[in-house]
Amino acid sequence: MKAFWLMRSAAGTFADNKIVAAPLYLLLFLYLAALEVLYFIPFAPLRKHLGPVVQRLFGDLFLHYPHHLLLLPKLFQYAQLAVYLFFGSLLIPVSIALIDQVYHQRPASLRKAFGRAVRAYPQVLLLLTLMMTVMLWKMGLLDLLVQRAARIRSAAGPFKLLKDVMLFGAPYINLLLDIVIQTFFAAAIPAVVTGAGRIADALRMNFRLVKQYRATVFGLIFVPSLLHVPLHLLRATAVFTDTLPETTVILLAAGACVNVFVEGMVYAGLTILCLTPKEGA
Amino acid sequence: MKKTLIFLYTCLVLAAAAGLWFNRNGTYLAERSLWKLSREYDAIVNNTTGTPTQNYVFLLEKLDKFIRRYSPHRVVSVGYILRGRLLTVQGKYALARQEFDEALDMFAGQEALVVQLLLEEAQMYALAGDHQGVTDTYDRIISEHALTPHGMQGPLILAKYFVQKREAARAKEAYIAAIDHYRRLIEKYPDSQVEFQSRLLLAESFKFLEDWDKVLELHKETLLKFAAPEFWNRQSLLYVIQSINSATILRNKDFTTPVAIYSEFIQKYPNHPFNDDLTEYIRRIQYMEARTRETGAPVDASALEGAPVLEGAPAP
Repeated sequence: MKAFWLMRSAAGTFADNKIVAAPLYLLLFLYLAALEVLYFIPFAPLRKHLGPVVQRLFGDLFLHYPHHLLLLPKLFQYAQLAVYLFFGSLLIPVSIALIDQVYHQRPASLRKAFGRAVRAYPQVLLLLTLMMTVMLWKMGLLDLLVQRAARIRSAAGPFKLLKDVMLFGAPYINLLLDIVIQTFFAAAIPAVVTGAGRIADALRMNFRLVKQYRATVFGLIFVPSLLHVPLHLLRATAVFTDTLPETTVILLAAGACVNVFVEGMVYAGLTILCLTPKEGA
Repeated sequence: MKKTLIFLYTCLVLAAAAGLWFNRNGTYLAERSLWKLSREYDAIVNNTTGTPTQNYVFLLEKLDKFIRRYSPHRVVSVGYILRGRLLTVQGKYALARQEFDEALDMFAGQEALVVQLLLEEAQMYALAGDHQGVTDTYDRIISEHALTPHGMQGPLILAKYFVQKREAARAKEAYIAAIDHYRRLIEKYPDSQVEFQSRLLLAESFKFLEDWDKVLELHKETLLKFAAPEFWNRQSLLYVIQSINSATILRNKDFTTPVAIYSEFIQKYPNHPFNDDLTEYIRRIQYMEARTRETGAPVDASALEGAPVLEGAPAP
């Protein structure tokens, strides 16, 4: 229940203090700009500069319609990762610092928040890199399992069931594992920004929070992340991509919006959770 | 901050709009239009319940608009091909030919496109049952674009066309013409990829004439002369080995000749990447020979089917 209270508080903070969401809008802008650049690779003038890169890495076919749109999700995934690591490490802490100011009933100052975010940037970058590394390692492992499952030849019985679960459920298993991994790391970022300073202290505080409020932290990340499910379902529906390949771009843009929304809710909720026990103490 | 964000998002939208506007007649958008038209075309030709004539007319008009809008992009050639095919399906062969000729004029000098258009034209003649048209078109591909993949295979394709149409005399004539053609190419381009390809195609022509000695001789020479791996891919190597095995083991229960050929190759090129595979073939052939002698049973071709995957050869 506390997770829902935190989410309501986070939503209330965003609604009452529009400036808190500004860094997140900027992050979304960067995601969408990256998507736009990637979409326009086969068009002039980008084709001249970025076309040869795609040609060399993936083949000439992927500079042509509709194959380019098949490659776009993969390219956007890399771009999103880079934007999240290098710009998210700055913009998310700005948002967290703003929430801290609001929470302590101080006037929300973007300048001060930015200053704090810059100071926390190396630690946050390291934490996010660590989290992303674990996520990528998990994704690689899951890929191997999916490939192994694809080779199961049973037409019925438990192995067939296992194959179906692995092949059709892979994106959902991936999402669930992402949530679990995030549960173990996410609170460290608000901890760094709101005062822990050093990574070791932030991680200690994070583990204490996770131990104390395991269900709350998991719920806080899990519930907003459910918004990814309809997108996965739409992506899996071939009708869209077969009849109108451009849907891929719309789904990717929607995915970026959902990502930023989820990040906003999660980090706002976790910041409030980080600050609450301090107050109590 | 609010103003900055509004400005940034406006820039994003404007950049997208400008990108699309500046490329409105570009290749990517032409490809997109073509993809949609191809889907309509597929729907029409795959409709087994009969397509109303009106649908053909609509699609022909759309293709015409596409051609006029995006000329002279390369993708326009596909527009012409689709129009030609639609007219062929309707039995309007003269109009289809006109389409192909118009496209051939437009893309003259772009060899790959020209060959593709000529192949479509030949296909149209084949559907019309015009053997002379097919022959003339293939002759044009063979003479004007001899070294393209279709130009190389043209004489054989033409011969196979007559086999398919049960024109035995013309088929034989075409195979003999193919043999002459490939021999000329071998003489003209010695020690080249052209000679290598011509040898394989020549052997294929002899196969039709059931001159197995020539097939064997050619494959043996090819294997020993063109040992450099860059000439081969998995398919061509498998094809040569299977042809040698068919011409000897399966036809005459002759186990000695293939073993001799593969052994000669291994001896001549001791460090060749194909050697492990050829050794495995030799081992299997010798085992097969012993089994056949022992039981007196007919040769079991399947024993060679699960043969090595020829990992030494590059993928095609």
